[in-house]
Amino acid sequence: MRKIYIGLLFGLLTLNSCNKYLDIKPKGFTIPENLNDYKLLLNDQSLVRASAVYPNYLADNLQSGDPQDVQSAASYDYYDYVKKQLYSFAHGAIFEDGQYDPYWESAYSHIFTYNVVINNVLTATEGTDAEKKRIWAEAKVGRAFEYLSLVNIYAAHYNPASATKDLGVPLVLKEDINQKYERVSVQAIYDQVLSDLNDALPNLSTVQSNRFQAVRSVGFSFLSRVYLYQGKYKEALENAKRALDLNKTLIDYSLYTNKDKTTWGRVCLKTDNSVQFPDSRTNMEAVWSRLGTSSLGSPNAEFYASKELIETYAKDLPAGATDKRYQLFFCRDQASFGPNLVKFPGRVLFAPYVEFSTGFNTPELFLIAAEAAVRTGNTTEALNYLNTLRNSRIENNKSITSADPKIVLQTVIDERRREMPFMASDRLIDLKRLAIADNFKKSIQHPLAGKVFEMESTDLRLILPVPPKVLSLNPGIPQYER
Amino acid sequence: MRISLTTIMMSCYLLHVGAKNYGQNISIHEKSVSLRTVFSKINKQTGYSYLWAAKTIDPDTKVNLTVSKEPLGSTLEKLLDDLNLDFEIKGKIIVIREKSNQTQLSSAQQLMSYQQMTVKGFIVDYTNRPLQGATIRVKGIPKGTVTDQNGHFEINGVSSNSFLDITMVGFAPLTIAAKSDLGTISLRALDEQLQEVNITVNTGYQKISKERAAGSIAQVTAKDMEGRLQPNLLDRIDGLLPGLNLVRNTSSPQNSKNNLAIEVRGRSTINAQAAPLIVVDGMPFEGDLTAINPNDIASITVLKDAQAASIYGVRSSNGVIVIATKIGTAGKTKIDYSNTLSFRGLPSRSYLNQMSSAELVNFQKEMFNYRSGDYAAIDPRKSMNDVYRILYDRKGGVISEEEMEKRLDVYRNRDRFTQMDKFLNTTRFDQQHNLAVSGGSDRYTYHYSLNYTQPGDYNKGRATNKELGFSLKNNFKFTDWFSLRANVLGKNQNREGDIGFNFYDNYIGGKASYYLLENEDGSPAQWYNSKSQFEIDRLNALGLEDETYIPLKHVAAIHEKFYNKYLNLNFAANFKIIKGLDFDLSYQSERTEGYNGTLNRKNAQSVVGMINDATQIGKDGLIKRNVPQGGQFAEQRNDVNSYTLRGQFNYQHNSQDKHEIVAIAGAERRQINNRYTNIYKYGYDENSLVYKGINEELFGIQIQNTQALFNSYSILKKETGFKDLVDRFISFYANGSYTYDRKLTLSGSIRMDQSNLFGTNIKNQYKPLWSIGALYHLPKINWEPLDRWSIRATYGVNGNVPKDNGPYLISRVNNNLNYFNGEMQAYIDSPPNPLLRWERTKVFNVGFDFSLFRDRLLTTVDIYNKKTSDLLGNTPLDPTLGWDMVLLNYGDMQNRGIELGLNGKVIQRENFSWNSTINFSYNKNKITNLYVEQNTPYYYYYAPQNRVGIPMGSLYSIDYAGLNDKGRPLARKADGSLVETTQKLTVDDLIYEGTAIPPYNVSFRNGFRYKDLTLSFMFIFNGGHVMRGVHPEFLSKYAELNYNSNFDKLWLNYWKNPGDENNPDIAPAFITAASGNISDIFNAAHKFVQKADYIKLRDISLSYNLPAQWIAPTKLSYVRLTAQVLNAWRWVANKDNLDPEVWVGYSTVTSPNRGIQAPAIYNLGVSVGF
Repeated sequence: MRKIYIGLLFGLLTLNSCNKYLDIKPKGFTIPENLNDYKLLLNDQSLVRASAVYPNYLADNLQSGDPQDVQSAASYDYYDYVKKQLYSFAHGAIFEDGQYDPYWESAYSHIFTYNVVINNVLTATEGTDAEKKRIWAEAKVGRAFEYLSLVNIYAAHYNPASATKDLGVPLVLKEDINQKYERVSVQAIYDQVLSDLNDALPNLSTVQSNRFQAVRSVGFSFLSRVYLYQGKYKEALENAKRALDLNKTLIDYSLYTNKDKTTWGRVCLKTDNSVQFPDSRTNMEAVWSRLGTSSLGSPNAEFYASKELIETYAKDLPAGATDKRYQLFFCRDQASFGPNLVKFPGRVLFAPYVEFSTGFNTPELFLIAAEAAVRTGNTTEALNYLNTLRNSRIENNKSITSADPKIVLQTVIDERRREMPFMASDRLIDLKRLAIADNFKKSIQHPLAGKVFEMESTDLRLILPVPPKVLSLNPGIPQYER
Repeated sequence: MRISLTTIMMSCYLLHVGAKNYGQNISIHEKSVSLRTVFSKINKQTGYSYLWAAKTIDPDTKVNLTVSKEPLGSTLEKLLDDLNLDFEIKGKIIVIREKSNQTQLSSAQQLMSYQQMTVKGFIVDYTNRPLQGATIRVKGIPKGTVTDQNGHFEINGVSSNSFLDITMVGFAPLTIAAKSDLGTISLRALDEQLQEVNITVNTGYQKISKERAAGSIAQVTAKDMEGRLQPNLLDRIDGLLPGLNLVRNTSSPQNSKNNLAIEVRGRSTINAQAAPLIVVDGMPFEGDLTAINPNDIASITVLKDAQAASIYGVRSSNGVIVIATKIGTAGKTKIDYSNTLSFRGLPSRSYLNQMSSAELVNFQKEMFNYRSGDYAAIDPRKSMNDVYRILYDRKGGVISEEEMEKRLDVYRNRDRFTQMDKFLNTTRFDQQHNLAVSGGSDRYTYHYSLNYTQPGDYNKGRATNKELGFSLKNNFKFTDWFSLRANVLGKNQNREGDIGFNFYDNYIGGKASYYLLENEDGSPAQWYNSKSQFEIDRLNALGLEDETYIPLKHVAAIHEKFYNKYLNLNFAANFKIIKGLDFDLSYQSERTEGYNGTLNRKNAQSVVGMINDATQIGKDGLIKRNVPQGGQFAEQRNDVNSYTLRGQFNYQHNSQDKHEIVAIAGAERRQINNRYTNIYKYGYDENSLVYKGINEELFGIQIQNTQALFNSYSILKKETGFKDLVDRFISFYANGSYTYDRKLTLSGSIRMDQSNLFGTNIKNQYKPLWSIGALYHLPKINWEPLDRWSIRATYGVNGNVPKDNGPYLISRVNNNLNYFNGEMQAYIDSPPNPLLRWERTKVFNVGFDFSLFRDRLLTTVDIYNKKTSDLLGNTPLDPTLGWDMVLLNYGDMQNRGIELGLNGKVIQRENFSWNSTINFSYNKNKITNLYVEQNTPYYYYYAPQNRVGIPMGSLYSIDYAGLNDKGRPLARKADGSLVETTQKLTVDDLIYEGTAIPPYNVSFRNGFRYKDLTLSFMFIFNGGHVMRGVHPEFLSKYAELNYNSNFDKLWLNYWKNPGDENNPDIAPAFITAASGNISDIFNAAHKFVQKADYIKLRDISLSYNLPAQWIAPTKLSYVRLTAQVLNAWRWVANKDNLDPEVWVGYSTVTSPNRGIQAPAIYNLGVSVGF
């Protein structure tokens, strides 16, 4: 019997308390529970890279290099498939089957993280309610930013007459990989963006620990942009002013110059060429820093300025003055990035080698304020904003004094083009926006090896298509004609 | 409990071998004790052992005995008389027999008129070790004897027509006809633990009779590996087991996700771990497989079908390899020693087909002419290849054409590869020593072994791994109902030395061959890495670190210390509860402790480079070193601790030999804890062990205005910190079989595993794995050669649980700080995913076994169908949901195959025998369903493919149509039209070539024995697959940055002038910066895809056992000498004579590489036994 007992005893020991044995918490992994877990998620540096460069290949500021260009990175033949499709105004898909779309995919990937924080942080353990609300609010700003970017790239521009019917983008508000989502209207996306911002604003911090943190001034800047896009100029002006009240720093570009034989650091202080132009982390103009996505190339030395853009820089420029933006960030006729000098007479290469913030910056606030002011009838105020910005950008500048709102408005629009020629997708969005705001319509021309690709600025091809990767997995998603 | 007679005799006898000085007088006062106890006492007092030859009386019979100081003879008479027993004392052995029978029978026998004679003989085991204590009986009469210490025996008065029965515990009984000199008689060993069945299969959990095993099982034993000297376990079993393949080419698509590079029956998974489970002495093995001394292995069993998984659970769907190590045999202490010396020459340089120095210089000159920069644009700070420097000097007009050629000639005539004798051993020399001691009694057996290995190195003076392994195995039988096994297995490896320069690497390849290690005047040569002498001088002038690099002086700049300690404790207790039922309790603990410390001393090239590159010099001239001066030290420590605790009931019941039931049921808990520490210190001083901190906020950002060549520098964080992973499992399992009349066996098994695997949904964990099987010994048919035949079949389900994914969201804190704000950050590792299902593999196996020509030809055939459904893999998801890849069940796969094992004893004569074995396996893999998102031509030809309808790892190619008159490659579309870019191709234009994984594996072994000489050799064949052969490079790059080493000679033959395109073997013209759309037409050309079949003569060995007569007078029991040659010969199907086992070139992305051909290895071994 003794033996049986021993046997059974060991048998029972083995079977006993399974669940307790298995219920241990592995190290190195976390199931987020407490406030700090969510804080860390919101501090994921990959959330910062939020806008792709490639939509610029559709707009009118850019010109490709020759098929085999002296500046090899700008050679049309070496362009990615996407860039070629965009530059040649191809119909249909712009990505190859299964190809990663750095715009759509990074946005929705960020939205997943924001959703996790937004939907869970308020019930997190530890931490004060105010702190939880602040994290919740910062995540809401982040999510709103992604939706506003998406809706302006993948949908028709906000048109008060048709926004409730126009296709927007899929609205995903839960962190569930098995859910069915819906491609909602443009209006619904704007409503979501505004409601997120209004939820967030009172809870945002007033002091910023770094330029990547969403604070009160970010909320106002954001609202001013949303209202500008919606054509609500009064609200746009109001919020731009509030934001400028908190930060209206502008950098004096005349302090900077170029140095040769280098790429990064080629824009530097005149007085000390080892101090380079501030990047998104240090730039005092950045209200909220975001960066371009790393996929699909950088905007450095990969394309030339279009003739129109070059002309725009010459426009409104007082005699004897220098537009430092054109001088510092472009290379005219030749480039010196290393031991070899690359020559491209008559052409102007965009090569700032500066990591700009693509989030919210004070110059944009000045421009929104100026545009909103002139559109709401206050031309003087508009000129005030405009000239302040121009003074920091143009060496030996002379103030613009026109009293004609039409001219002032045109100058403001041109100034946007000069200030943010390749910033995020701003030029593309402006082309679509102005078609609705001012019935503005023009021809976009892309020359290549003696040929010119041409398209009206109201063409539906300015709306980027749903990536084929999404279509292959969700073939029923409604789409724009392209 | 059945303990055979001989066991008792033997064990009692052997227990006391060696006792010498005993008195003859005996004192015993015992009541009701067994005869066995009495004899044991007698033995203690006198040193006499006993041999129980009385069949009718049980030695456990209880007797009373009272003797005081009586002589042995009278004591025995007193003891045995009443029991009607007689005795005879032979030397130190008391032989006990029945009294009456002897007289009756022997008198009867004497009536027979056959000739009487004296029979002599010498009995040895299969290793020619003399056997002491073997029993020899004359059949039919009670006459017999046992062998003496030297294995000799002699019986008088045997009639010439009689037969002798020879028995010995642990050996198969033998009956032979009597003759006066029987010479040497060799007994065949049995697995001593289970003598009652002939062949057993060790599944790790139990040993089952082959007669009852329905599963598909392959087994090799120590005997099969005899004469193989490969120091590594896997090499030693290569080719011995049908269905088990060693994947040797590390770049093969077969080898990814398969860290052991072994594969059982093809692949049943794409993304999950594909290596089979290794079980050693019944417990899953987490250590390094090299810790197991191949000389200690008793058997290796491969479980290939569904039964494997249902015994071992989720980890086993790729098959299970069960290793049983040798245990002690009751008997005289045996000592075995073996020593293997291994020699291998330097790998052949001619196989590499590299350009000579002169060819390289001319090639560089041509490339320079196609594409080079301005002379004026040369950056004096950067170093440049000497040949290009000369060419630039000519281009800049600094030197004349004549001067250029004169200077180039210097380089054309230099050859480092011929000047390496001073630094390299032309023969690498490895040595291995093994010492094993084993023995025991019926109460205790042991097997101890010690193993020391020291490999050599081609580099003179370079430290190599010294390995010391040991194994202590003990089996105790305390009482009739309780026995215990206690094993300790360990291995220590260590290596310490300077590794700052590898001469061997610079012999096989490395920098261009015209860079010498010693200048013509004998002084050590200086080499340049990225910086020029101008830059080195400039930095020195600033007072920064000296970056002068002299290879011969750099050896000591990097110092490495490595050790790895493995310890395995394995205990098992067996309790017999009632008849037929017993309980095993076993426990194993494993510990691996690894250490690797690499010290880059303060003069190491990487250290001085990093310090200088990160140094900023302010306007005021102040030097700011962002990386501190001093050495840099990387230290990694990891330890893996695991334990397994298992309780198991075993049941066995046999009623009237008609119904036999064997069943086991048990439960197991298991934990694996893997901890890891990785630190990296800057400004380290090896003597004081102090280091200087570094500003961690600088990690990952570009530090501007430094002294680096590009004026900015980013310090990468090298330290990865800590890891601590715990996996726990609880499992329940049962299996059983029922055998009717020894003809039909039905078996079944089931297993359930639960684990703490993070996020795994608990509902997934209750799904059992199961299998059923049947075995039928078919009735004898009327065909003479067929001895026995049987059919077996199994069916079952295995599975794989998603490990790191499940219903919960999992985040991980990033090892690096968010470099935008210097704060900690986390990311989402996996989204919540409650819909995951198991990966399930259904395996059906049918096998036939035939024994023909009186067991001279054994044939085993297995046919299987393995269907894996719901393959787990990272699957594209609609990225709108936030993830473009998640672990999902995304495809189905099928493996069908046949395995054939033929084992023939072709010739069996006394002095000559020939055994021949063929193992053949064919596996047909097909992906039946898979979601693949990338469907443009590039994604078909760039790498081996997994796609629906084709086998895993298949190659596609482009129909290359030669060159046009400008030397540009052309591709032919399916409609016959020619295009110049891959962008005009569609998938339909590609050519499907077949799989790169060999479906056919054959091994063919032969063993010849002539008297004491044994010759064996093995051929292996792998075939039915394809490879992308060697081809010249598509030349397009900037010469001075890319064309700087001795490339394949094929590169020299490219299009230079119109008309060259008529040569079909010529490579395309140089096209500056040609895009992949053009070069892929050539690189992925159909004409480069070749058959990859090959045959290799893996080994030939010749063994000589010194004749037993020679060594009988010595203390040695056997002496064996073995000589072996590995890699002696090969045949390949491809026309370039590439060895598919070393070839690297599956992908079109990387340049093809012939690999390094393994040199022939010569092994010499001596084994002796005491």
